[in-house]
Amino acid sequence: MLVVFFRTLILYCVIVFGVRLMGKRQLGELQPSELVVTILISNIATLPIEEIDTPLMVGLLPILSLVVFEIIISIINLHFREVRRVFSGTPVVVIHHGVVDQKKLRQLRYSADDLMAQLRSQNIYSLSEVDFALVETTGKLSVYQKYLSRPVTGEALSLQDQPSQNSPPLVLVSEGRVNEAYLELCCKDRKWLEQTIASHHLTLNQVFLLTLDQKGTVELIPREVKK
Amino acid sequence: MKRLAIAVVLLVVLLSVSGYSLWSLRQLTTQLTQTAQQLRELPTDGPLEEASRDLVRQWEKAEDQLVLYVNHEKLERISQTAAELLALAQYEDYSIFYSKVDLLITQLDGLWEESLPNYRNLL
Repeated sequence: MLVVFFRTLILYCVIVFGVRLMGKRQLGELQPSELVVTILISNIATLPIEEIDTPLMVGLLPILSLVVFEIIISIINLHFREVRRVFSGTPVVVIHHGVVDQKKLRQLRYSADDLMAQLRSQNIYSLSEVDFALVETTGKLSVYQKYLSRPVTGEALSLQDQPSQNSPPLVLVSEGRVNEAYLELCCKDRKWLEQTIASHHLTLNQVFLLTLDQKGTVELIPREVKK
Repeated sequence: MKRLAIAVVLLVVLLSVSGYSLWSLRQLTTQLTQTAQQLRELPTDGPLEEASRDLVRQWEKAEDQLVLYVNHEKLERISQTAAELLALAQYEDYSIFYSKVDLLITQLDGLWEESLPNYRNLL
């Protein structure tokens, strides 16, 4: 049983390394080749865990090979559009000027129910609100609503731009740990941080969360005291 | 680019490891097959027991390396055959002894044949 435990641990480390090496794209929406690699890796990983007679190399080699192939293919895809078209396909326009292209939907094997479900997931309940929609290579539906159906923006209301509202608050302290990169981004230093925390009668370790926005507003949440 | 470099290095390492395992398997099976063939050629009044013991020792040494990349079930079958050889030599059951030597040679050849990336194994 200890053999199974250590094999699982080794494979877990290798798979995490592989997924990290493949990059953040792997964790987001998957292209067809990425989906294939993910499924294959998960299936291959179980073989040496379940069957102790199988050498660990029989699991590690194919997993690492798939990771390598995926990276190489993704880099080739980046530089050659034709290759990208072969591996990932192209987005397909299914609604144009409010008119549904039923032929394209049939080609994609997308039913009317599928279309409405995808629209509803984006809080669109009527086709009359949609001017343009396309099915991405990941299968997701991207929608461009008609002007009057779009959420109101500041520009539409002719509001004045407020640059201080353009950036989100940044987390400077998280569970007692300082994020140096964000501190530098906010053009603040440790001394300012310590003074700010001290002004709340707290120490760094007592801070659960501290954020700072562009207006200079500090939001501080102290850590809960364990009972 | 960093990711590509790591991928290329990893690819080289994987190919090297695969190539080395194939080469190592070839070396070990060739040596063992030669020893088994020498054993096959020994007469019944020759040092069969001593030669069988040498073969078993050689196999055990080779097995330590082969477990890293060969299915253990296949190795266990060969271990079983090798162990039987020793017992047969000790109890002077020569007809079965020689047929077991042939079986061992076939198993070793099979081990090598199954590892080759030819069309038969790939398909």
